[in-house]
Amino acid sequence: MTTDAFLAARPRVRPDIVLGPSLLRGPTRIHLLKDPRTGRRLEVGAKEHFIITRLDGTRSLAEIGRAYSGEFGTRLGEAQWGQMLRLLGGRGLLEGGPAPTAPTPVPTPAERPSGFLAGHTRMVADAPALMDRLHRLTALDRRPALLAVLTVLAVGVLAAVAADAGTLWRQTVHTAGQPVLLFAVGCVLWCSLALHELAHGLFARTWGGRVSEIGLRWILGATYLYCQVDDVQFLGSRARKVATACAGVLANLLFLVPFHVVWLLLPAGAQARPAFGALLLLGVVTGLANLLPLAPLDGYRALGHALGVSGLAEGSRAFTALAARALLRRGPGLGAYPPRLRLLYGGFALLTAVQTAALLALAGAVLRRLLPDRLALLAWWLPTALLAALLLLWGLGTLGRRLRGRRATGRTESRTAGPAAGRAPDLARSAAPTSPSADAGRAAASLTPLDPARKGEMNEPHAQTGTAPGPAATAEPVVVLDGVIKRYGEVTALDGVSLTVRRGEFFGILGPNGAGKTTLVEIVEGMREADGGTVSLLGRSPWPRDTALLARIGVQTQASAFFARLTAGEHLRTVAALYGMDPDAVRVALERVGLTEKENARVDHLSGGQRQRLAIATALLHEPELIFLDEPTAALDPEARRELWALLRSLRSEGRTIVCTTHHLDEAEALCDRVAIVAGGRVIALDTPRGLIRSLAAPARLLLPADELTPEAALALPGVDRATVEGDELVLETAAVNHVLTALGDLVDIESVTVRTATLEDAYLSLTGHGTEHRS
Amino acid sequence: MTAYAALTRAGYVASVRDRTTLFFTFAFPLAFLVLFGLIFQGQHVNGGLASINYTAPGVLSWGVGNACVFSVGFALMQWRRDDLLRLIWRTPTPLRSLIASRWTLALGVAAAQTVLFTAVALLPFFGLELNGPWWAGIPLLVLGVTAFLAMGLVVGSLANTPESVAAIANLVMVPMAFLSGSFFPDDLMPGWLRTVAKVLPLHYLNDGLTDAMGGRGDLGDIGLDCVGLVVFALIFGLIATRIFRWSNRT
Repeated sequence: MTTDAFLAARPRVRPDIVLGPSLLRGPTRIHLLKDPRTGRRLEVGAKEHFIITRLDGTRSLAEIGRAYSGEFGTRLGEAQWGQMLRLLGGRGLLEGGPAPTAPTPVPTPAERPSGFLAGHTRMVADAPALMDRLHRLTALDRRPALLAVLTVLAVGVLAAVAADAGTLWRQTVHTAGQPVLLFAVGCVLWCSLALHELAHGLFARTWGGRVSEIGLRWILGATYLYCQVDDVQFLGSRARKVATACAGVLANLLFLVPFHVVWLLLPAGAQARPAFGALLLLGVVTGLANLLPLAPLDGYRALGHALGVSGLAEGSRAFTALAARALLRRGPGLGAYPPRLRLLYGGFALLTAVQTAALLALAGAVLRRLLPDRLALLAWWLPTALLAALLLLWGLGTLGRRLRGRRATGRTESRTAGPAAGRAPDLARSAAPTSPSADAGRAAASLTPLDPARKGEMNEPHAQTGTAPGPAATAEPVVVLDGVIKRYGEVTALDGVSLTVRRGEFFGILGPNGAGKTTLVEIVEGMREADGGTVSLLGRSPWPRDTALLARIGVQTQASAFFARLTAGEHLRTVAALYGMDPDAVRVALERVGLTEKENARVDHLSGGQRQRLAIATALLHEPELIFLDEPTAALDPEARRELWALLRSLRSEGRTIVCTTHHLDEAEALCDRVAIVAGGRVIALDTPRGLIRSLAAPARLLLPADELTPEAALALPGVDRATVEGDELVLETAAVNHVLTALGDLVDIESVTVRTATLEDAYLSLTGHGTEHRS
Repeated sequence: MTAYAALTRAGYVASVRDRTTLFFTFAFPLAFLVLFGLIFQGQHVNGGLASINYTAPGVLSWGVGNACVFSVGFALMQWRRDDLLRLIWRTPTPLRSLIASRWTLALGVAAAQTVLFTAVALLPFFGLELNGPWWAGIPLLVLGVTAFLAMGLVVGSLANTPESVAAIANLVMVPMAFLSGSFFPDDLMPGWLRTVAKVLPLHYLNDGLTDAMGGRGDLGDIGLDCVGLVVFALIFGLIATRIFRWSNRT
């Protein structure tokens, strides 16, 4: 099929698919779909919903695609359409597609098995049938007037109870002193709660909902009936959903009507009167308490339905956590929440806090009345303390679970070297069957092809001028910088740095102090965020802090960071523990840098060279693939430098990639495969050391005692470009060393002539603009 | 060994090897205790409690607070300066393990100080008697350590040199010790000064400890002092998280 023919197709979503309401969940808007044939419910994002509502058989894919790009700003190519249609087809949503598979056992969060302490059991064999019967009997949907009457009755009970509140309170207190009566009242109220649940179910059934189960739950000795209603979100208008949520309280109040009548009829002195009074008061209080907008009470559900939010409490909790982290300048901030949602979730969090505080104060006040005076302080704080203890227990439990989970996965993950390690959870998430939104998100993301690795390669300055590429030139890139910019206020520390370091390379970064070398390394390791450009480290972005990535790199710091007053061995063991490694690695690291006999020496007693080697051992401890060294031989005597060079060469021969900043040019020349010269925040040259020297085409210099030849005589020789006297030496510059040497052989004692060819230092000085004059 | 345990161990070893700091942590407040104990021996404050009932909790609260602020302030400054914080930043160890290890160490130091100073004050010569609900001093000390640890984090984040840590910490701690009644009974201070002292965290620790050890107040008073310390811990904790830096370079 050609692309045009494909885009002219007019597929159609099955007309019997029920489009549910659009709801807020956290900061995002979701849309609900229901397949009436399988009973399966789906959640889709705004983009999928946009497409599904337009796939009606009259519009072609091309038309929808145009509308889509107008709405969302991204184009839908053939690949994305293919993916989307396969997805819809696979879910059985497309007409003419494969018949929807039988409802797969929906992976509901596994219910815990019923036990003695907590559990549930089904009480009605065929709950939907029972509800159907009840619905026929009441026929609420055909008699709205009946509802009005019932509501008036309920309000009447409320008003009557409020009017006699004083009397009822006294009777309740009286009943509280009689356990048997109190127990009887409790039993009656328990039945009222059962009716409450049935009312929810009945209202939901009236507007097309489905009651799937009626049963009994128990937890820690308390039991209650429940009525499981599916599809509350598909009841239609918000008013219906709110009414369904409030129906239970209506039933509670109606239940009290006959008891109220009895209470009114009983003579003032009747013994049963206080019990009925207590029943009325407690019934109204429990009913109204259920209307508090506090999860998981009915009032909270009603509020959620009225606002069109799914998971108001969870959303609010997530928002509060995010806001708290933002306050501490952590986390991604509140960017995803527009002001309206901030008000919504923040307001609900505040509401919950205020209600909790009020309830705690109320419980405290009640306890204060019930407990003797000497326990006054206890009475006030007991509810708060209990809540705090519960929260603490819950927090500890959560923490414990998380720690257990991390310990189980942590070991394997930190050792997995492949770049896939960190991405695995992503894929797992998008493969989840519940929602197609993640898949479509991926499709959209694939519309913007961007391969930073390739771009970096092409922009590399001085790409391999004239020299044979080193052995590593074909290896995979490990560090890729592309146009990296970093500013500190007015100062531009990095001004568009692009370079690529390949696996196994010894890469030098040279530059004068303040050239931005340290900033560059800090950006690559993810300590700082670049203001512009892209950074890729081992195929991933180092910013923000990515500990999985950091576990694969080792950084030797300039200041030689050691734990104060510890021995070398203790320091390394501490660092090993920070990486979650066992202490065996310490011995290996000490051996490798030749510090084994210094294991028990205090870090502050080590010599400069030993400290540098300990710093390198610290960086090597966790066997990183990539090592950053920051001026490793600074302030070392020549012998210590040579020893350290041997160590660095051995690291390179193990196949590790090494990036090394230095301003010792002989060091770079001796060690590095390639060198980037950084000055003024830019890479001004990048090549092998030999390539840099050659591209400079610097003249060779011949030195001979000044008393053997005058500058004038020297200049007369063919090939001599310059002749100057420096101290007691005559310095000749030439591009043709052999010619000049031959000529000199006739004039002076050739043994007294010294030849100096250009070094990296000459190249460096000429490139950084410091070398207007050659020094010797 | 977990990162937390390793950091705690490293901190413990480092502080045991640091004789000077050990001396100032324990001997210095002890000297104050002995000095004030001798000066005010046998005297009673306003005709009420013996003066040792004010001196012992006062010196203890100051000693604990001081040790916390200085040790944490110095450690944080030093670690940042030596790039040790960056080293930790590169490991998977979360910052909270670091803070928790410092907290454990500070609690250990506070416990040792408490035992030492209380034991000395209980000597018949000084004559402290634990008449009050002395055990309520434990939550007070835990909360006090938390509040002053948070304060030390603030100091350590502000200061970049040892000199500035000492300067800032002394500037805060010395006037606070006087105003909060650590060195002389705050019941003898003018009323307005006692009101001013209510904005100082040390006041709550000192007040609570005097109530708990000296038997001046009841559990309700101590509870209020605990709340005060919690509030200060939260305030300083919040400030510390806002100004915390992994590195000196900006």
